[in-house]
Amino acid sequence: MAALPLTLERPISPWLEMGAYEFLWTKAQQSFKTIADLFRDRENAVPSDFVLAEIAEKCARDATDILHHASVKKFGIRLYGTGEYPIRLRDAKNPVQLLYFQGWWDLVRTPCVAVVGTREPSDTGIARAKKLVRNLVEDGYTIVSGLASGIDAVAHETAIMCKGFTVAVIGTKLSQAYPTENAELQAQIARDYLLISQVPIIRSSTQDWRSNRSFFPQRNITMSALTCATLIVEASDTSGTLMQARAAIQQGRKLFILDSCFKDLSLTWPRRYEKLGAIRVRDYKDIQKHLGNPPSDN
Amino acid sequence: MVIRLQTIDEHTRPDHSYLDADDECYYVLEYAARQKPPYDSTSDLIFNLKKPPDRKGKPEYFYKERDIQRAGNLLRTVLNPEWLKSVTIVPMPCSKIAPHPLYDDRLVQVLACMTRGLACDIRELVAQTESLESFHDDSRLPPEQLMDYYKLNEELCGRCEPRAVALFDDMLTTGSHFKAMKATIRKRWPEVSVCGVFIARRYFPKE
Repeated sequence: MAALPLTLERPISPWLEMGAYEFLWTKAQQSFKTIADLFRDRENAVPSDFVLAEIAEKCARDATDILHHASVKKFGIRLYGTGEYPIRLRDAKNPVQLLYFQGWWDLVRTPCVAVVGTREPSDTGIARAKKLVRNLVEDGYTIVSGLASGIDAVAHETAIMCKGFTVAVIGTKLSQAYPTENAELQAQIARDYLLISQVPIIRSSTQDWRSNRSFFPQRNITMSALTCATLIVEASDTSGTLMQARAAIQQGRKLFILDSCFKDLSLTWPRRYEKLGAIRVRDYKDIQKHLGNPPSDN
Repeated sequence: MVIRLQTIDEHTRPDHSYLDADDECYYVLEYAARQKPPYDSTSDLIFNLKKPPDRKGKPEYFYKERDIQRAGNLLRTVLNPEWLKSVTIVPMPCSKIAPHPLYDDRLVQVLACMTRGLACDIRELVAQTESLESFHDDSRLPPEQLMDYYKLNEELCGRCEPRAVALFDDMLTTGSHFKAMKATIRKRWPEVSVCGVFIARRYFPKE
């Protein structure tokens, strides 16, 4: 090609960037924070700036093989510094540098609301989640959740049933479903909607499930950053959902908490977050009021 | 944040069945063809760019004109202006020839926006001999057959030898168009390097 460089920052191969990123994650003690720190120090850097090309290629091949062996043949890569990366993810304290996905990426451009909550909801909690999801879909919102059992699964399933859009941000690598009972729902979302994972493939395949647990709260932080609001249907004082509540407040996102959470006097978190700016939802109109005009039809 | 150009690599090449490992192709965005893309998405941008010119004057055409500017400005942000001045910029020909009512010069307009204020060598080096079905539907011809419809624009070829050639198109689908253009140019100038720059590559969201 011409002697002059095509671009001011060199063009990148997303696949090799994935390999480089996967390699960075193989280092002991690596975390989303340490990776974010690495890139904070060099604003326009990409993973391949820190990893030799042959190592990046080997890791890209290894990670691809892991997914292929688990029958994930097609997947996409989103990297900070490329045109499709949603810039609002940078509102997270330690924003993700790279994401994997399956399905229709354009859904991140739709107005998104996260609907999350406990893995063991009450019957009334399930009913409330269904009703609110139906309302949000009718108003043109895409329903984002984490594909956990309980409220998450109800949120996705209701969105699909109402012919809305849904996005799942999972806490496992793309090729793994947790809990396994949601494997079919995950496959459906990957095929017809959008499935996103920030979990490094090689690292999560080589460490045990106890270490992999830390990926679950991390995806809640990303989920919050990806959406304009988070709606908590039901959650205990020790629920992982509260990680998302905290992230939403930190990131300047709207946080909706159902009135029923406040009425459960054994819980302390609803009031704590209300003081930090969360919105108490007695009626769907409270959500509408704070979200502003419904988006145009999509 | 600097937006980087991405190369077609081992992972993405299977989506563009006619491309080989030695084809140098770059893109900025990715799009999935769907009936009704979300507003402001990449698919929406591509959808707007593709709006046929016979709808000119209708309200929807506003979005095409807006997105021609958006696409041009995006390429302008991503590409090195010194590089743009150093290569011969060649737009892929439209599938229809003027004065066909569906002849569309959107790409020429995108390139004009991209190179605004820069002294660039933009040449429609390759012309088409007759109108074809749209390149972007399923009936796309393989490169060998497409080449039968291509001829070099002798008047423009004679102006001066092309430097490195950068072929521009708004979307990369099978890669057939790129391959046929590259082969047509290489037939005349076997030594010249040819790369492809695309606003977006198409991907398949389903397995």
